[in-house]
Amino acid sequence: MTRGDKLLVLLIMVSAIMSAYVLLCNRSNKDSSHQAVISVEGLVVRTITLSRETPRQDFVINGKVGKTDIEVQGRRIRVRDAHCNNRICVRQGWIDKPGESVICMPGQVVISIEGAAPVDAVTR
Amino acid sequence: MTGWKALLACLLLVAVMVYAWKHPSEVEYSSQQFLMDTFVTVKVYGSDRGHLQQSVNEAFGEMRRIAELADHFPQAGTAAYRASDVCAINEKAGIRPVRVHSDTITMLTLARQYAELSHGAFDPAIGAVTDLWNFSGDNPVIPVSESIRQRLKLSGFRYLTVNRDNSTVYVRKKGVKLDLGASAKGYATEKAYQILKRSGIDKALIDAGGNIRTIGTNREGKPWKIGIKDPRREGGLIGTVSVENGSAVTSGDYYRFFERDGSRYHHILDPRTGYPGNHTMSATVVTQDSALADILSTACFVLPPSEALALATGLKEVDLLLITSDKKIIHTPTLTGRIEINPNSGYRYDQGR
Repeated sequence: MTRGDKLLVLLIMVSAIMSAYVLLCNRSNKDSSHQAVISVEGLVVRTITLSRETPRQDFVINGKVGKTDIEVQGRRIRVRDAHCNNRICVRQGWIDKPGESVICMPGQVVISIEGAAPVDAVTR
Repeated sequence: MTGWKALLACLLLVAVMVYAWKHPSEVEYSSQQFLMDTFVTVKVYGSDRGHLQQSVNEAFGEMRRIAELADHFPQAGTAAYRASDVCAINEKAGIRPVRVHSDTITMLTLARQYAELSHGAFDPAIGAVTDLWNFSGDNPVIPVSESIRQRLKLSGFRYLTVNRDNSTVYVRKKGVKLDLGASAKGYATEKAYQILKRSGIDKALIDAGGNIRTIGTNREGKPWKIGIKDPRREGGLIGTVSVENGSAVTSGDYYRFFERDGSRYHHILDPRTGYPGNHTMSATVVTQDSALADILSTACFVLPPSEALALATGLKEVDLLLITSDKKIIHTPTLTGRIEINPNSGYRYDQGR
């Protein structure tokens, strides 16, 4: 092999590694463990990783109309109790899939599970 | 000999560098706001994050502006009341025409046109009846039938005159009230879409509480895949529909409702009876214009399924999927190939339809 050949082989290897790196990076972003993102009035106030190892826990978020009691259990999350008048958020129960969300309109509290969702959005 | 190899190697190096530099350059920018009594998400893709952010902010601003024009809830005397064209029109009902913003003219022209076409299954002048039901209140009750009968006399698009030349709107009878709850969100979504489109964005999704408007394709270069909500199972989907450069809007009986004596009373009223429509659990309209999709999803929800299908079929490029009260999924033939129905959803689905 001439010097040029060696350089060519080296460059092909480098390009292959870089391509694999870029592709893997994109993929690992999509497959990352699910995150529950909690926001109040559009501002993120807390994020929690949801996995089988996540211990059972509950905590209180201050929404616009009072306290929202949130419970986490492994891969799922719900609003356990809330001070809003219609309590639609409580009735909705557990969510555990990426793309799902609990939205409390009066309290302007949103819990959404991020990650690769099977659909881009839901018409409802 | 080595000369051209070296050249080739250099070209390859440049290609790799360009690839590595260019590939991660498509960024996603997404923002959420509470607007029009709902939760709105705007998601856009492009290379310049600052530009994306600015465009999304402008889109939200546009939605807020339309929401203010169409709001019929604010109390008299407030700033929101003074900003609302709909409040001004309602206040002067039976008194005189009101000069309004060109967007209000466009919204009401479209509303009146499709009220007529749907024979009143959609009606923008139904405020007197919706006020009586008060679904947005804390404790909705079933109104007595005599009150509904009285209010129906103060309801109907035929009282509405839209004069494009003078930019005026007149509701010809005192007590008749406009309520754009079934169309303003769709129009606002369409205007937000136009803002994004005009600022050069070619990949975007607007989700206004389930009113979907898309630009281009999704991140993978495929048509946006939109789930259709299962009307009886929280978080469940009955299937998906592909939407590229268009919108999907659903009207359902599960959004705002209360139950009395085993019956469900929901917020989508049949303007001709004054009571909630009862043929359908949800109606999904897929068409390009989101304002039209919003209006038609309400009309098709209210109409008996056969009439709803006839209405959609008679219009150009309007697709409709209905989940009827007897748990059947039916749709216009134009949706075949663009929808996937979940076979385990528990609804009857005959593909032959």
